[in-house]
Amino acid sequence: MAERAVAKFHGKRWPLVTVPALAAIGVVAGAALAQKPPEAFVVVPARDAVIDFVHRNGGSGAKEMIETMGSGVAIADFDNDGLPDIFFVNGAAVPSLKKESASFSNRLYRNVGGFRFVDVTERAGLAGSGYGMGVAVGDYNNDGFEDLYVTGFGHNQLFRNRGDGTFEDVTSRAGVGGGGWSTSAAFVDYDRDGFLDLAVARYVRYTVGTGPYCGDKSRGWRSYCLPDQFLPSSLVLYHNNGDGTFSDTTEKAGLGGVKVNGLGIRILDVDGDGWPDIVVASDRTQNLLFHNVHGRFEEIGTTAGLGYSNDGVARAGMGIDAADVDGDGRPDIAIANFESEGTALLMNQGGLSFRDEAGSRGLLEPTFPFVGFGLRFFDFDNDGMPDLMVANGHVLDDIARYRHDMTWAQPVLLLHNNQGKFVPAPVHGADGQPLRLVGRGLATGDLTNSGRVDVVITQNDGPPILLRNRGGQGNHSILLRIIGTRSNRDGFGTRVAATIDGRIWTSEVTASGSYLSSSDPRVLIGMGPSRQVQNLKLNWPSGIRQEIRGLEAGYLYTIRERQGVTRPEAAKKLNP
Amino acid sequence: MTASVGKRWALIALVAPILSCAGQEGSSCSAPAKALFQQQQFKAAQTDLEGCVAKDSNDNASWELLGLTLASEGDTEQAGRDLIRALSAVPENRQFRINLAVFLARNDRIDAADQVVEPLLGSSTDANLDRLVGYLRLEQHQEREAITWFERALERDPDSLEALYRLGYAYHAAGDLEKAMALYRRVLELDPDQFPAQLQLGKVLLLRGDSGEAERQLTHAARIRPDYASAWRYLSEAEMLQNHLQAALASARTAVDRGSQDPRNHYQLGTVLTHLGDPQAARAELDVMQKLRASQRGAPSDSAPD
Repeated sequence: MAERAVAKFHGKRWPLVTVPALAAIGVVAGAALAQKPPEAFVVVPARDAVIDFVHRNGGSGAKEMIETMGSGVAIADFDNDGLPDIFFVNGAAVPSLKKESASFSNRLYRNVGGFRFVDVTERAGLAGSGYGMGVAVGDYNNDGFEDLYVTGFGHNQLFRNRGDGTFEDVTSRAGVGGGGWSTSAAFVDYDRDGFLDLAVARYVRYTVGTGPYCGDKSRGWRSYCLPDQFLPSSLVLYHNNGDGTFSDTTEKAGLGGVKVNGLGIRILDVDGDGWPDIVVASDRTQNLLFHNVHGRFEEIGTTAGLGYSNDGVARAGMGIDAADVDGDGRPDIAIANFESEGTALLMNQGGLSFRDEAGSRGLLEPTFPFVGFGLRFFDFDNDGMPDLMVANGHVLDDIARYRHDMTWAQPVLLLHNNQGKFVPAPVHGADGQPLRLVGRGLATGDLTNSGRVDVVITQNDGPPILLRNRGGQGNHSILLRIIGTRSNRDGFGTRVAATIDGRIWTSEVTASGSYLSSSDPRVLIGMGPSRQVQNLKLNWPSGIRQEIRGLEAGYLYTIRERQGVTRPEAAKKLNP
Repeated sequence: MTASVGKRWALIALVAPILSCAGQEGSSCSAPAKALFQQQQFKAAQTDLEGCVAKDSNDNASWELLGLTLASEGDTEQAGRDLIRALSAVPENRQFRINLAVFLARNDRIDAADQVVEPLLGSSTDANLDRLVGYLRLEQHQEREAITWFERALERDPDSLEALYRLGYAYHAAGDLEKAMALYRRVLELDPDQFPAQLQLGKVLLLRGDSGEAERQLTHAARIRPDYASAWRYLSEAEMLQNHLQAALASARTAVDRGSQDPRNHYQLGTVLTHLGDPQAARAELDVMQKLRASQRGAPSDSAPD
């Protein structure tokens, strides 16, 4: 029996009769939920959370494309107090592309518990500069503190976490300033040397002030352009030299040969060979799968069946995420697309082959009318199957002029996974109506260490929304914090396999995925009615394999590479 | 699924009954030309009508019929001018207005057609007009409004294949696949060889993962229109999912043969070849697809005739 951490989840006050009663008659929790999915999330008012961030897109009237695409959000524990904090990326004035006032500042909010936050941006030195887009989080120097990489239009910024609540802009020294229009980024140890490298997706080649007039000129309706009118870009890959500097290895590693309108990026090991692959969602150009062959990539998206729709059309991919949807041990991929396309659900057939099964698995019809951006797989009801949430919102703020049945703000979709098929579950706003947002970034994390996953969604030119998960449906869970010692300290790329009542649950440690965003990298395992993970296997990027037995439900476990389960540093028992 | 599949193809069927001279006020001069027009003797009709308008430049019926005749002959520029001239002289003429709107719609000037037809919408409509407006709304991606118009058309003419198909298509484009399927099936009950409905039904079945039934429906579609590349392409996809790989290969090759400039056909062939374990041949097809895509800058897209 492993040593158990002492941070018992608070709030586990589910009626005990429910799950055992169902189990006794042979009904698994997931099946019961499918019939009538209960509402899991409640919108936390900004004043209660004390989050006053409002995204500003700098809209100038000239309808510069950058205005409608941002921006991202990150959930990560920057001060190692055991509670994940929230970082928001902000835009800038247009056309100056400068943060001309404090209202354009990026913001870091420290989590002080109880779903309340304190703005620590100024002290942290994270206001940023330029027109921000996305964010990636990772401990690139393995010092135990999460660092921040903020992407933007024109240049990107790397902020080293000093560990004292402040950050240092090390972009120049590190050599990761980028260029062009960077969108989603991800930390990944692609050569498995123990240091996190950086993969950065880029969108179209664009210059503010020189774009064509898009929309209906005869009526004076200037609107945002489609990406087809611009040239695509390549990804950028930065290799971490381990001394605080990075080298641009885009060409050397095989990523430079293909140019697309890249928006979303997800790191995952698609074929289970231990080498992290890179999947890119792209807008009206083909999606990419960079298969990692011992530190060098081969782009195989089209032959693998995820470049295009089943009938060979390049869709408008935005956000991307991955999870084992059907419990076959292989990661499947979801990509949010444009209206009339539906979210793609690319089921991993093995052998580096995917097929979009969104239609037969219930994902096509609910997502079809909307423009999807951020999306994440996570187990909102802890039944052991990854569900999906999609943040929608049209790219055209004036879409209602062109389509009377469509609006800029669109519903947030929550899709419950019932044995590999998805069923819509409700998400309502404070007014009791379906929650409609101009959704862009979406990040997930257990913001209260309750054993339930919460959500933060950003809006374009508006305030973010915090969704507190009050559900759980009587199901159990454990939360894992993974710390690499020989591997990168975040343990990104570690393959996790949990045996629960004979069923094997698998996942991979990463903060990547969604759109322009970075999520809590801790691993939450929904256990349904089970009270114990019988066996937990970890395959670290270093090659070390670790096995832990008998993890009891309801705890947060900190697992160090080669050292097994240890007590969490803070050992805090949170208030119920 | 792209929103426009089959629209352009079926437009011809949609507007054919509307774009006619039947019911218009005729001049005595144009009467013989009207008979010629109805017999599709367009050149002869044109000669007669040009004589009529030369004699009397205010003979609006002749201008109208001349416009329709020229449209039938493919002289769209002059046809448009003549139809506009006729309607400008008699703006209250309902048939002239509908004819011009249909003409504009056929030439992809959807917003202009909408403006022309707009004055008729305040008064009572008929099934033809309902279908036309429904069509315009579909082209404008106003699927929900299109549904309303087609439903209204069906109330007046419940067995209209055109309205049933279009309503199915509107639901299809709106993502309501159940309703779309039911309507396509209804069309096929009334006319088992109605190709657009057959093709769309097969596609919806494919989307929903019912590849067995899709294979049956698409086999029939390809039998009805063996010249139509997309029918073979979708059939190939269904056959591949049924693990009928040799049949899928043959269908994909036929699709490429029928539509060698459509990158989607090469994509399907490449996909089948991948499943057959021939990566080299697959790569070659996928390369062709990429090159076609690059040369067509994003096509095929919503405007692809399918």
